[in-house]
Amino acid sequence: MKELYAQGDLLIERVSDICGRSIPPATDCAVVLAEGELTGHNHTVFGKLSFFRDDGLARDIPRGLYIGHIAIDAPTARVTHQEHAAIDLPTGTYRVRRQRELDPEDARIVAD
Amino acid sequence: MSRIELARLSAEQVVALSRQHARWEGIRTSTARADRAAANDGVKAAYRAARLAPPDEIIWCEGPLEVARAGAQTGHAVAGENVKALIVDSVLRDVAYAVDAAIGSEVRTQIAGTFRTHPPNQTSAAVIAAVTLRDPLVQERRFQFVRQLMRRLQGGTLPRWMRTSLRDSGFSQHDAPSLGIFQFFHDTCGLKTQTERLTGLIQAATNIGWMLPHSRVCWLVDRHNILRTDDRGRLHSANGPAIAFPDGWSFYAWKGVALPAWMIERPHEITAARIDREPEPVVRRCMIDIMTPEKYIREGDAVPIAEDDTGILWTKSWTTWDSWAAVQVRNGTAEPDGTYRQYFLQVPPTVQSARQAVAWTYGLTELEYMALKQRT
Repeated sequence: MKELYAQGDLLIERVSDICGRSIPPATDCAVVLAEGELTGHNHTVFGKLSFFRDDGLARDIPRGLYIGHIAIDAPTARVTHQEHAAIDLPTGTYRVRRQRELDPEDARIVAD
Repeated sequence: MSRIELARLSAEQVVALSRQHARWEGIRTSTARADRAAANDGVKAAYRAARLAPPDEIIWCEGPLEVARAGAQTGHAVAGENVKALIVDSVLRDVAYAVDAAIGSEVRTQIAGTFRTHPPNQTSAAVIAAVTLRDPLVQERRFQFVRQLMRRLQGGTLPRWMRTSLRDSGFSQHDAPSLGIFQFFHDTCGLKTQTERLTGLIQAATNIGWMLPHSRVCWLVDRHNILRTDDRGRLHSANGPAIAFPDGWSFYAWKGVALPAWMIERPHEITAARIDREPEPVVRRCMIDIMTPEKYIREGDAVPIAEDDTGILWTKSWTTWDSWAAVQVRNGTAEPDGTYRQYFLQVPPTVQSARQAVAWTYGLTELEYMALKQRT
């Protein structure tokens, strides 16, 4: 069963299978997952973790949404944002993606 | 005996390759003033490299409008035939052939990932289309009905030869990065004999916005002084033109869609009624985007068709085949005053429920989104 966490326009999905990929070693760090262009606000994850990108593990995510994977090697890691309450993620591997909106250009497809 | 002079790039050369690539990408989007003297010298050398006499006259223009006026005044007989195929395409082909014979297959692999020409750069393709596919002399007319009339009666006011020249036979700073790899081989790898013929064109290309080379007259255009895109490289500007040249020519765009200037310059004039009257679906959606979906829902006659714990789904239909939808959602976290901020996301009009709409925004199905454990 999937487990999803949403913080504003960011979606974090717990994944069990990373198809035997090797995960970089975890370190105590802070990783900015996404940053607002206008506000400068950001979604940041703090804790003992590693962040990596593997497009092969995101083929089912629509193009442009995939941000990366985080592997947490501690009881919890905290995701923060200036305007949203923090989320504590338990140990595990997660796939992070951003939210999208229908673009005006897509109306060409819809109207056709 | 092997003619290969360069079997593989050294580590230093790989670094230089990446630097050269960055430099040419900078040239592509540069809005700096062109160095006219350097460009003039480069153009003369480029003509000579194609075994042509340098043009009798090099005419500088500050933008597409000025070059169109200058072309219309000069006349085809005076300007001569367009020679872009000779001074650019033909020389480039010869040089590419010579370089290809001098490098090993490993070098081809090393350079393949850096100087890509396919797919074409999205921003450049959009700028070239914006500048060349419309007649600048028609575009400058103030009233739309006059513009449409001119198009119908004359197909534009620019002479046909000049229109063809601008559309199919110009060379711009957006085409220039294709020369970067040859400058790299010339400057860094010692393949001077093979690439020497391109040095004039390279010098011109690094100092112009556009070039319309004819046998007796060569028109050179300054660089655009404004070029704005969004984070996806699409022409976009919420305040002012997305492209502008010093001669006053400008082009307005919203997320890659060309719009009339007033929609960007005077967004307060966009009303729900004007949106509903707009015949072009893509432009209509840009108008809603600029106005904001929230205001459009408040002022227009969009209707709520579904509601659940994720939000409210609003739709508006203009015709049986053209509908619009947005989902109204509430922030998961309360504001300091205890209220919850509402926001609106545009979604495909095919969605049936608010949950399905929100799931779509994350690229999930409605069922997958049921696994949401926490939302803040």
